[in-house]
This record gives sequence, structure tokens and C-alpha cells, in this order.
Amino acid sequence: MFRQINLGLAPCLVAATLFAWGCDRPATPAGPKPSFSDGTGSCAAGARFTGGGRIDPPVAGKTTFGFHVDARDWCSSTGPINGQVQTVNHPTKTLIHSLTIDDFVSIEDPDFGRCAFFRGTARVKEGNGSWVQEPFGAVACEKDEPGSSPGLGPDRYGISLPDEHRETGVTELTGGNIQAH
Amino acid sequence: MQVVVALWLLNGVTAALAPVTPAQSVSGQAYGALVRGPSGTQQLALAVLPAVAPTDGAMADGEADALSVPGTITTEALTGNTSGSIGDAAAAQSVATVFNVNLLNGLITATNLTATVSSTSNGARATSNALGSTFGNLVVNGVPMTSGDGAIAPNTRVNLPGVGYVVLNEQRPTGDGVRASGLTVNLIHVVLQSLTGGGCTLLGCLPGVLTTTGEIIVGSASSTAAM
Repeated sequence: MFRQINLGLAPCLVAATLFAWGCDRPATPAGPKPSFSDGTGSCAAGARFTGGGRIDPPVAGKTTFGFHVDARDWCSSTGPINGQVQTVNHPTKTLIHSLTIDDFVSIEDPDFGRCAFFRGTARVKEGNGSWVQEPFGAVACEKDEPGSSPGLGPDRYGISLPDEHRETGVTELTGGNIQAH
Repeated sequence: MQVVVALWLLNGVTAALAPVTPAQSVSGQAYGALVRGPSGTQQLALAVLPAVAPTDGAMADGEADALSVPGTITTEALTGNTSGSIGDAAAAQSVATVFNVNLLNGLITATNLTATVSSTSNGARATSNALGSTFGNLVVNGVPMTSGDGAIAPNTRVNLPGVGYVVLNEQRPTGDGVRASGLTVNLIHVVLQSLTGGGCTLLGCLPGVLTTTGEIIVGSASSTAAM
């Protein structure tokens, strides 16, 4: 199981939100959680995010991903959210592929940049096991171009499978790029 | 005057033949493995980025449980994805992953491969990189090349006697670095060769000719961005 509970490097809203998703707990008082409840959550940082690459969170290990989410209709009139997500956690050989994206919020974060939170259902396969359907949540943050450079970041990505408390944490890219557009 | 007219005509022909690149464009492709030989071509977990309009974005992905071509290649799970968008900048990125690779009956093995490329352009500066591209426990012809998840220098060539050669972390850049940039990374590219002809007679010896008979590419990702 990939698991990342230590979010010491993520002190603000983004971390609080992913933590809340992954552990099914309310956000900390200092970190207001974006509202998904009424379907008209904020899209302050844009309605479309696209990206792909790699993160290496210390506990979850190498994770590669690609995604495109288009929430223009959602942000304007609670219409459908288009797009898809593919993520692979390498140590556990877990493949995650979205089936639906049902919620979307984007915010400007002082530390993380323009961040999108989206969640829905995914088919998930671990190792040579069978596909199972379960909810997922993802966070993608664009801080600058290019999204990765020798070293770490500045863009970030994270994914969680809350049913079994599996999550990567919001982690700086070690390759690839994320764009809010 | 004739020279001027000739140059003008030549310039026109050259311009007509030059590839036309849209002012703003992104492209990308990724795949897990490709095997090409006399009996045909197999390509698995292919993802090709569809056309992306200005101010828009897109993604494509592919996956396969495994690949087995006896004596040539076996792998476990393969994935490819590619995404791109055009906004303030044009950006494309592609990722290919492959688990438990075994080529040519153990001549080349790796526990996992990750190819990652990204390209961006804002119209004044265009760059590409292959950051995050690594080989897990790569062994070539009995020689360990990486321990754990490690990188290999771009375009590292290793001869494979009797087989051909392999280029590790093959990188092919494109673009002018100002408006456009692109990069293709093939983590393992085996070129299969055979020696044909040659031999000795009373008149002397003639060398044989190496002929390419096929290729194997494992972990390929490419991206381009222009603005």
C-alpha cells in the first residue's frame, strides 16, 4: 500500500485538503477546506488543468501520472467535468485510472501556486490483482514553468485512495509539468 | 537579372517544401514497447496526443497487462500517457512505464523503466527535458548498469556481440530553443543486426556487411511544444 501521512512540507490549505481527503477527517481550522457540497465551488485559479510526470514521495515511492481535467461547464453551471487521470504507483505496482470526475475546485495558494482539487471514481489494480472501483482524489498545482527542474518542483501533484487511506501526499515533481490554463 | 530570378524561384520552391508548423502547437506520444522485425511490428500501451486547439488541452493514455514475444521480449504491466495544453505557454509531457523487462533471453533485464519528457514554449524560450527518466536495476549482458532506480547518461551505446547494439536513454532533441522545442526519449533501443556477405577467396578477403534486421524499443516518450 502506498501511504504518505507526513505532510510536514505542506503547511497550508493544499495539504489540509488532501489530508482531509486521504484520512477522511475535517480540515484543520487554519486550513479552510474547499467546498464541494453544492457543486459550485470556487474555480478561482482556473477551470482547466493539464499535466503529467513523476513524483517521488518518501513513503509512497515513485509515482508517475498524466491527467487533463476540464471543468469549465462545472464552474459556470455545474455541468459535467471532462477529463481523465492515469497514475501508477511503482513500489506497489498500483494502476489508477479515472472513470468519472465528479468534483472540482481550484484555488490560488501562496506556497503551492494555482491548485486544482478533483475527485471521482477510478478503477484500481494492484499488482496482478483484479480491477476494483473506488473513489479517488487528486491535487495538481502549477507554480512555474517548466514544472520540473534539476532538483525538485516547482509544480506538485498528489493522489489519494481514501477507502484504504492510501495517498502520496502533495509532492514536488521530479519530472514533467503541470499547467493551469 | 537571371540569377535574381533563379534565386527568387528557388526560394519559392524551398518555402513551399518547408514543413509548416502551426504558430501554437503541442504534440506528444508514449508507449511501453515496440518490437519490429521481419514478421511485423508490435506496439503496446500506445498513447498519442490528439490535436490541441489554442486555449485548450487534452490527454491520451494506453495500458497493457503484459507483452511476450518468445526469445525477444517479455514484460509485465506497460503504460503510456501524454498530455498537452496551450495557454500562456504551450506545454506537452509524456510518460511511459514498464515493469519487469527481459529482452533476448536475459541479455538485458530491468525491474522497471520510467520515461518522462516535457516540453514548454512561451514564444521567447522553448525547452525540453527528460527529468525523471530512470532504469530500475538495469543489467546489460551480465553487467549491472544501475542499482535501484538510477539514471543512465544520454545516448549510452553498448555493443551486443552477435546481436547488434543497444542505446540506453536515447535522446533525440528537436526545435530551435526559442519558439519550438521537442524531445524523444527511448530508454532501451536495441538494434538487431546480422552479418551478411563477406568471406575469402584465392583473390583475397571481403568484409561482411552488417544489416539491420529489426529493433526493440522499451519505454518511449516524446513531446513537442511551439508558440
